[in-house]
Amino acid sequence: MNISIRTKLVVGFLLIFLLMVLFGVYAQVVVIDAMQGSVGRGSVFLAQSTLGSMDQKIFAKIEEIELFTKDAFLQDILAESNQAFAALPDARGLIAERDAAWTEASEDTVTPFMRELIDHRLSDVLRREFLDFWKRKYGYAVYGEAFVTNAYGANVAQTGKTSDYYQADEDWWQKAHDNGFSVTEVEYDESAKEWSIPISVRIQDSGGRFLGVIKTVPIVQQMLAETARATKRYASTEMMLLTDAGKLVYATRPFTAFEDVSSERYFERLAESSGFFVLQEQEGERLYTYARSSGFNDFRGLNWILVLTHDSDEVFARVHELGRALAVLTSVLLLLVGIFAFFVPRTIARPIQKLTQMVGIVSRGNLDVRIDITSQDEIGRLAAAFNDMAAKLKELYGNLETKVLERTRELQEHIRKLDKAAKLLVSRDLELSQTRELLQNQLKELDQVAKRLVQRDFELHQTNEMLREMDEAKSRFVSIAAHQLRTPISGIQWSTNMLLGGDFGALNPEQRAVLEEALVTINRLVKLIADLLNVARIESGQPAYKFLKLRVEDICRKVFNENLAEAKNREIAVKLVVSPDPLPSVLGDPANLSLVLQNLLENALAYTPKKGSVVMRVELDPRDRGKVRVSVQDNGMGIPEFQKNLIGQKFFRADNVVREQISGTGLGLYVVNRILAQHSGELELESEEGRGSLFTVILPAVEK
Amino acid sequence: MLVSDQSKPSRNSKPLILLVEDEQFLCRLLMKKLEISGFTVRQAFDGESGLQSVEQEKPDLILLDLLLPGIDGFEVLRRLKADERFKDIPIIVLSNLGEHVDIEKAKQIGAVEYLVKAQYAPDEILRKVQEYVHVR
Repeated sequence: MNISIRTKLVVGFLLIFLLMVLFGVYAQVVVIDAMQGSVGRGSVFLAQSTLGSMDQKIFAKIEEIELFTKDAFLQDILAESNQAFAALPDARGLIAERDAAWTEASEDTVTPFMRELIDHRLSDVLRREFLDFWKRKYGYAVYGEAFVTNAYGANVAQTGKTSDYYQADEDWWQKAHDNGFSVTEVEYDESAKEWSIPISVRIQDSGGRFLGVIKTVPIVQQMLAETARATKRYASTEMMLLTDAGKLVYATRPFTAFEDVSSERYFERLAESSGFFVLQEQEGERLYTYARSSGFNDFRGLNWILVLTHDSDEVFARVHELGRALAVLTSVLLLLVGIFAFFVPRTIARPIQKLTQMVGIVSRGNLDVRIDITSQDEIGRLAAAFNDMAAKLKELYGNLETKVLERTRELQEHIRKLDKAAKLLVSRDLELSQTRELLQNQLKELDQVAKRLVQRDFELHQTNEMLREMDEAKSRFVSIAAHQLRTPISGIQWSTNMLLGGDFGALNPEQRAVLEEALVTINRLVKLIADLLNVARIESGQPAYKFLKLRVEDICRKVFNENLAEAKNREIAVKLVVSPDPLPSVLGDPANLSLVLQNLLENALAYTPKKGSVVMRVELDPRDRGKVRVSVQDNGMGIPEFQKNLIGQKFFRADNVVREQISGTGLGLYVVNRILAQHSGELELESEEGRGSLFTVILPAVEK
Repeated sequence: MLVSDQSKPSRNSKPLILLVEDEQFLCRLLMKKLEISGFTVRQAFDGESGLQSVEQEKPDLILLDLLLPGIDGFEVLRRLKADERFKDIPIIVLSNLGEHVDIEKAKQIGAVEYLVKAQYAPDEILRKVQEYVHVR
């Protein structure tokens, strides 16, 4: 259910108010009730005690009279009278006669018989005891009259005229006779305006023999008046004494004696022995309290009802005050509640509404608004917290936006690139498809070619095999040939050497000279064979070059040292210059490189005259740091200009050396060139006829 | 070079050199050279004879040719180096096979020197021998 806070608060307040009102009303009702009860009960108690005291007084009177009945004189007189009547033949008749005569007389008339009785000595006593005594004591008459009857019911003595002579037929006489005493209904003396309650008491002697009855008429006016006084509790209190039958005996308001109030509204409410109730009357509300006389000891009590009435307003003045106060309070509270109900929900509901609105705005994206609720209460704090949050969100959002923008830009870039790439890919794909087709076709062709190639390959392989075998055969031939050649040469060399050495005896000069010539020739032969072998080996590609990482300067030194003897023989100054800079290594076959340098050095020595000089140099190529140079410089014959480019040809010998008859095979440089080719090296030549030659070997260096 | 062995002691005062070479002329020249210098020389013209000679008379040094009839010099070299009795005998290979391959191979098997006949005069050969064996 959708109930707003405001409604809830208002309803809440109203509920509380309602409760308060209900409580107030309830309180008031309860209080009034209590008070009424209290007052009522108080009043009832008063009525009860008042009646009670009345009863008590009456009883006291009875006792008084009873005491009197014990009087000896009285008893003697009565006994006498009874005896006299007993002696009569028809006491009853006499009594009836006398009674008739009594009642015939008019009210004012006092017959002599009456007079007799009135003046009787007992009557004096009666008068003295009952009338005078009390008059003297109190100042007013307590008894109205008193008279005594004998056992037969006939008057014997009386303080004044009585209405009749014979009493035994009276109720009171019989009751007194039976019960010991009787209290008759209240009487009202019109002329005297006096209320009296006749009390009759049985007279009996000490043996309990019935002697007669005495009737007195105590005047209760005083008692009544006193009662009225005593019960006036409130200004508005009215007292009413009525008989059980509803005859008004006494009232504080003007009344007539024995006024019949039995039909009054309140009368029917007098149901219990005591109680109270409230009646709404013309003048206002009246509280009625009543009590019935309950007697005292033997005396069963007058059948009277004492009714006290009070003005409700007066009695319950305080309560009504309270009620009014409550009403006023309630109104004030209602007002307050009303104001509260009006304002408080607003102070709560309104900010909350505002808050809700603002939250709505913010949630729709506007992070700049701030809620301007500044109250210090929870709502204010909520608003502050919310503002904080909005601020933080804004910041975050801002950052986020920036980042998002960046990323978006990056992404867009990427997308663009991807797009391009995609387009490219598409076109490539197309190309690829086409190419694939082409390739497939080509593959088919290639397949066929491959088949043919396989065939060729096989053929080639076979050919290769044959060639290899041929090569091997060649090498072997070369090797064997060399060896075969060497053996006889060794024989010649050694024998010549040994002969020259004197191992076979001394030689004469001519023998010596010839042998020396022979040795030279043999040496030439040996060189030729060596060169031929080299050429053969190189042309056959045997042995395979074994490329190692080596230091050129080491090979230079070795070759140089090996030729020192020859240089000395020829009286040529030789020098080896190795560059002081660190030289890189070179990839090469050591034997073949040695051969290269050997050939160059040999040539230099061969073609330089005595006292000449040969310089071998090892250094980094100044033009190219990735190359090593070895140069052999001589100041010998040089090479004729027009024959420079022929110098490497197999068996070629320049004109000048031929002319000078310097022996040589013409193979040295050929071999050098072939070997250098395998080493990715170069040979450079500078020469001037008659001045000298410079041969330079250039080899590529290799990284360490 | 002081080895105690089971073969007959060959001792005269001159050190013994075994020359395994099939070329007789060369043998004759070398023998002359060595004997002049104070060595006793035995010759064998093939591998088998050479091994027998070693058995009979343990030499102080062997000059060994590689190209031999019958078993070649490499085989002889191998067998000698495999034989406990003879593996300490210094062997100088004397051959005209001058290929690096051969030189390496011979040295690997255990030759102390490899001299190409065409490059070494008898004097030089003598000097090499003298490096390994001293005349007493």
